[in-house]
Amino acid sequence: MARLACVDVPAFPLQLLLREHPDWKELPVAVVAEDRSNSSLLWVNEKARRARVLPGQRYVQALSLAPDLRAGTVSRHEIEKGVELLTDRLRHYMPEVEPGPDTPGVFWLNAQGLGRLYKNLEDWAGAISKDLLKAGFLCTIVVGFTRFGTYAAAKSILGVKVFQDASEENRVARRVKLDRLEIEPAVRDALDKLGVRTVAGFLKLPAKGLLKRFGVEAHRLYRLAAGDLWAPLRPHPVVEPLERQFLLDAPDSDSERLLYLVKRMLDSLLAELALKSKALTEVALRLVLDREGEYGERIRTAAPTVDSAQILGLIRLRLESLRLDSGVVAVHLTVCGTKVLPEQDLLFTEKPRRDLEAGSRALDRLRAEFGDTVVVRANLQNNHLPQASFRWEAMEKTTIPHPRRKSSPRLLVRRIYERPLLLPHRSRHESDGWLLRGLEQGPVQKFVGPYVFSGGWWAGGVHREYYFVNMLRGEVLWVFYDRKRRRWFLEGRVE
Amino acid sequence: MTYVPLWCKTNGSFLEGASHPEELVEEAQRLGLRSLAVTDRDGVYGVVRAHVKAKEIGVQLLIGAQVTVEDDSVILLLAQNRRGYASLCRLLTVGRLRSPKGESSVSWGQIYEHQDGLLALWGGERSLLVGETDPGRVAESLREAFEDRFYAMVVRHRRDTEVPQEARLRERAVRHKLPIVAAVEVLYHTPERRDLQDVLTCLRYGLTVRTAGLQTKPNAEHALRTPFSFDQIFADDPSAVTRTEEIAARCDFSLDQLRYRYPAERLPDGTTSAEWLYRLTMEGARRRYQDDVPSSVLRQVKKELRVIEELDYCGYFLTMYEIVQFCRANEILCQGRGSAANSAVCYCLGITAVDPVRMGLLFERFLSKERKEPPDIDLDIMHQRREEVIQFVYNKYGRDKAAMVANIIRYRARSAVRDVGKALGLPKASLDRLAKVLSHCDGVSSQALRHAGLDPENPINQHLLRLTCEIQDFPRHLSIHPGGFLLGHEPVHDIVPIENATMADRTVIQWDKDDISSLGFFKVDLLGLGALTQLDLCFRLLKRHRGIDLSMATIRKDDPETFDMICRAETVGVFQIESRAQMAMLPRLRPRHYYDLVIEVSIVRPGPVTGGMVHPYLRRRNGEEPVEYPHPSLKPVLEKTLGVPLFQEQVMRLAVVAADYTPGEADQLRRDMAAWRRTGRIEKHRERLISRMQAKGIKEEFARRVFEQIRGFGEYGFPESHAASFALVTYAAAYLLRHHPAEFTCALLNAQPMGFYSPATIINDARRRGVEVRPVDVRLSDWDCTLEKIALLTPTLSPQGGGRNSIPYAVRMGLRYVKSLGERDWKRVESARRKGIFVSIEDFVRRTRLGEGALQVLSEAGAFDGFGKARRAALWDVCGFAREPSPNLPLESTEETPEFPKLDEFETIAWDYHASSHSTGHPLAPLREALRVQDLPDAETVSKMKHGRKIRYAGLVICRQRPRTASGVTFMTLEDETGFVNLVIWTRVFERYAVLVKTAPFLGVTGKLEARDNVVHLIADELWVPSLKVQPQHGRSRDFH
Repeated sequence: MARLACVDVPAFPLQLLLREHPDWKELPVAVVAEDRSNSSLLWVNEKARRARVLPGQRYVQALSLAPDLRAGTVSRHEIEKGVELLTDRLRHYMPEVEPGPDTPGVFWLNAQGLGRLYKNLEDWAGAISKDLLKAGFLCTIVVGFTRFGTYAAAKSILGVKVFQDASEENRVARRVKLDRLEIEPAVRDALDKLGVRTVAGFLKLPAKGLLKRFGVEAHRLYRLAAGDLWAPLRPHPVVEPLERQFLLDAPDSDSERLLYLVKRMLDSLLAELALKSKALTEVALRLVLDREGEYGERIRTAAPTVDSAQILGLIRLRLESLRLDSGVVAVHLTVCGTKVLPEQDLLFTEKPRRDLEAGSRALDRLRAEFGDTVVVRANLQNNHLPQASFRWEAMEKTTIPHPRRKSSPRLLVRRIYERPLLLPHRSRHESDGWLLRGLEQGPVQKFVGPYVFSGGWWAGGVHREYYFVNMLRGEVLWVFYDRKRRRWFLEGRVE
Repeated sequence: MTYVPLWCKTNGSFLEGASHPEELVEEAQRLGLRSLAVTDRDGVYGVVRAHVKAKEIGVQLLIGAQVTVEDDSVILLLAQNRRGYASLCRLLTVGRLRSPKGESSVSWGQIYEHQDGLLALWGGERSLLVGETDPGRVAESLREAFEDRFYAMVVRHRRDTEVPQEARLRERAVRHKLPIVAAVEVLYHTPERRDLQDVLTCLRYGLTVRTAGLQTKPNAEHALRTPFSFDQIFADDPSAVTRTEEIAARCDFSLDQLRYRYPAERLPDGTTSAEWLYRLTMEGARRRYQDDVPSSVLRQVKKELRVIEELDYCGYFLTMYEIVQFCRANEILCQGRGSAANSAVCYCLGITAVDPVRMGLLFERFLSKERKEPPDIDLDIMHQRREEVIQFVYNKYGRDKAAMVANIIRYRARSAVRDVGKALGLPKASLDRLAKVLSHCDGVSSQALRHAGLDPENPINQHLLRLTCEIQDFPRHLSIHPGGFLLGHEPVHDIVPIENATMADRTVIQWDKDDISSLGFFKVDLLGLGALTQLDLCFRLLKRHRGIDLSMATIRKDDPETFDMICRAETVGVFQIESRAQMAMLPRLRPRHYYDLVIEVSIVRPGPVTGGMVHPYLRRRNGEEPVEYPHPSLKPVLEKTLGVPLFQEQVMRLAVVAADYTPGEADQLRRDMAAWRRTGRIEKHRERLISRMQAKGIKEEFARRVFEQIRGFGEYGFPESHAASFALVTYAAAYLLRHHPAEFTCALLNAQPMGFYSPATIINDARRRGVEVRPVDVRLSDWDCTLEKIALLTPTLSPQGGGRNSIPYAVRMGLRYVKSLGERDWKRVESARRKGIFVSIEDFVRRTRLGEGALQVLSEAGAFDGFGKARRAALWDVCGFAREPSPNLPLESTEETPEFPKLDEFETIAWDYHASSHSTGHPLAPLREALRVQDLPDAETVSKMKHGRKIRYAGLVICRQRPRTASGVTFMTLEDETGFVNLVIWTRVFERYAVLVKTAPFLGVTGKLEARDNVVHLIADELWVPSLKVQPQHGRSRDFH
């Protein structure tokens, strides 16, 4: 009979949380559903249980029982990442690994054909257990014959167990309590009320009656437990990155030749992407230099594309700006793609009169030549301080502008410095008046203000008194006195 | 030069103003300002407190409001005179009533309509006058409506955005010929409150200080300014500053001008209110005294009527009489409580049930010419029917003349921590932890922060500490008083704005009971009392099943059997004397008469307890120490209570006699007692009382004890009249329990939720008294609990003698006790059952078509046991039947029911508790043998054990208490199938076993017995979880209330 192993990492999200906060190990800890005081606890550790904190309780309720309780949420994303991490780790022991789809922390592994690598299955399972422990996870591993049998046994015992025959596995599985299995809580509780608490008791119920009362999932479990449902192992596929590498015989610093090389690699990668109905969104170029380490460049396109000329144009701009004195000995190219609409669909898509794509391509070229941060636009922010009242943000692509219908008349424009300029201390005796910008601009003629901004008291605080200042030569400056720093600053000019 | 701040918002502008009204007024005076306007946002919430303070320190208070218009702009309106104030209140009422709770907006048309007597000030960043769009038409209409009472208001807060706004305002002011007045929008009395104002803004918009951005003010320029600073900021326009004083001079309205008149009754035959009251009182007196009114009563009644007429309060008494008459006519049980019981007129009118002449109660505590304050009549109404009485008042007086008094919910330590912490962006988990370690009354301290695991040195935590202290007592939101009505002769909305309450068909005024009291208005209190519902239900059951027509008036007085029972502290479910502390007092006080009950309900209160009055009283009562008076002049005051002051009236009289207080001062003392925690005013009396008493030859120790008691009364103390009213209900309930336990239990269960104990405890106690309690049964149970005749095969269960009264009844539990079963479900059961009895579970499911959830819970509660099917099998069946697709076809059970393990006795009880929070069996009964093996006695055995014996005991926790008066001692009551055991846990033991004390539903105790005066306490040394294979389930305990 085929051999199968079930790896169970109990209370998986709680283990993830404890890995995140190793200093909580000695405290009662719980995973909560949401970061709210009345959120319910999903998992709790042994120390919390000792303080009578149990899953299902509200956080505030639990806090009254264990004042030093620590709690946190574990997002679906974090769980997925954790599953990925363990899947990769388990692949070192068996390439065919199937993570449980609805039960994070449960994994099935093919346990066939390990005879040449390990003395026996106990050794193999023991090695996995040790390795996961090293990674910070406690687990149980059961090697048996059926998916349900190994799963049920793994949920009820601790450590490593290898069944020698199917009947032993079946015997153990039937003794397993239903509350150990991760079945829907409502079904589990309903069965508990009926006095059905073990797999054996569960199997005594009529299948049809069970389906009618508890639904398809309970019925599926029943069939699995009864051996009526066979589900093959569905190992998680290994995703290979799309990449090419070329090793040069001798160091080469000619960008034209390198570009030609990149073109060959890129064409084959684009063809591979096209086979998967994907278009390129990003390309990562890594050049290994003969003496000075390596150089990396990441180029993103404004829209998914399969146009190799466009991408090569962008790479050319980058390569041309480089000085590769020590010569390149290896070229690595990795591409990322995304699914795209079929061509026919694109034909029906309404296109605006302006050629936005051309605009985006132009921006791509600018970025390729001057760097990613060169194309930005101002975004107004919800803050009082002039510098904080807007933010430059990267502009990925061009969009149709939507100007305000009615713009208020703007008589004066204030241009501000990226950072206020520190002005010299004012002299106590200003015989010629306040020479704010030196002799060239002459003394200050008129002050208008102060207009006060103060705030941010929760983080040290700011207190600025702003003035509009008319200079002798006609310039109008925008200055402020910072009370905390006791200095004058030039914020900008008024035009 | 000086000026008048015309735009000030107090913290009555909820979550905007950052100063108390009193703080603004005091600061104005400190700055040398003669006048100040209070203009809260869409309301007059803060004006009364500001008025009281302004009057006290001689500041002229202008009253107005910042009114929100439906285009989201605002305008400031100030009341010039009484007419103007009425216009303002009416306008605000219109705005509030047309908007959802907490919001308000009016149309421009409504503002023009309500212009009479108001000044309009138009300006500020939210007004149309400064906007980019020219408000030409609105400006013209306002000019036309307000004529020369319309001003353009220039506001300056040192913001550059105000410059173009002001330019537009000035240009339009010239165009519309508006005089310009200067103002600052005052949000706090001192710039130090700016941080708090930011926090309040965050709370209002649900933001944090880091994300609030432009919602918060950009600077701290919203404080009250000194005249110099105000002149400086408006140096370029001194006429605008002078105009603030011109405006103040045009306003001469004060809240003192509110001539409140109680609604006049429509009187028959053209008689006056006084004549009508006289006639009704005399008729009532003849009825009360069976046509033989004692001369003392007559004298008292006439004296009271004279005072009532002189003070023009006849209408108020007639209203209360009408409400009581309405209750009587509709068989709604009610009874006056509080100081009204001091009045013979109230007694004769049937408002109260205590004869004040016979009891020697002090009328002046209720009403006095010297005080000239409206009397306070609180009416207790059976809680299930109080809404009928409230709607009667609304219908009788109309919505415009009757509105409920507000209850302003203010920040306390816990709410302050949660809200301020939220605004500071602190993690909720930390705030929860901090809130948990705070008690209801404690402030937040560095120590509390440390206990919650927060670093008090961290700057953000220091902000939390500072701001939570500042925000204490700030209004958070408006709620509704439990039963206080303001009734007016004129429409109430001419006196105070009315707004919508959360509850449907309820409107509420913008002032709370303290505001009402400060202005000397009448309030009618209609309070719900569960005990009256219970009595009413019990009387009805007695009439229906036994033909006994009992009422509170006809119950036999001073029944010895009832008092015997009370002395044994068998008082579970008896109003006011059922708590653990009361039950512990009963065997020591040994009440034998009604007046003993008056003392009993008063003595177990923080006042007498903290004043150290309890033990001296008990010793004197038991003859263990002589009855002595600290001074011969105090004998008449303290004689009734053996020389120990127990009642509020006695404290007042004591202050008059022993410390030479005038009656007016004594009453002020009473008020300060009630408000001491908030204001600390009681401390003013300390030295005065003690030194004056000493001067009269009273020992210092006694004087100090009296003062401590006065402070205690501030927390909670009963006036004698109040206790006397309550004791009537107590006695009636005790009588019914003694003589009609089945009816008593049935009524008590139907009046839930009320009282001290859970239904489970009430049922267990009833069973110990021999009352048979039958489980829910879909064939027999009604919605409420009912009485069922017991077949005479079991005559021993009958506690009564012969006749109809001897027929034993059992209590059948009602379906209302089945969890999550609604009244709608019951209607379906009732309607199906009316057509014929249910013959099987299938029949029940088919005919009622209840949802699967309801059917499941009925199975679990054992409501199908009557069909002869075990609960688990019934549960399996109903789940199947409920999922049958065709509801109209008869259900056929084609599948066989599998075999399920049978529930044992213990499991059955656990299921009962799970499905209906009670059981007709006790959870510990099936475990008794296992407990006995472990040498754990039952409660009955414990009660007979000797003093000082060390024992181990295990029971279910039904009550946990940690009263503030007990210096950290925790009291618990444990229960088993034979009775209760009272546990005393000292602080050191509590600290060791805190988790068990707080959480364990089933607890084991090792400790020493303290048995004195038939009161047994177990003093805990160790606590543990009893080692049993199963843990019993129980209803919820009553914890730390």
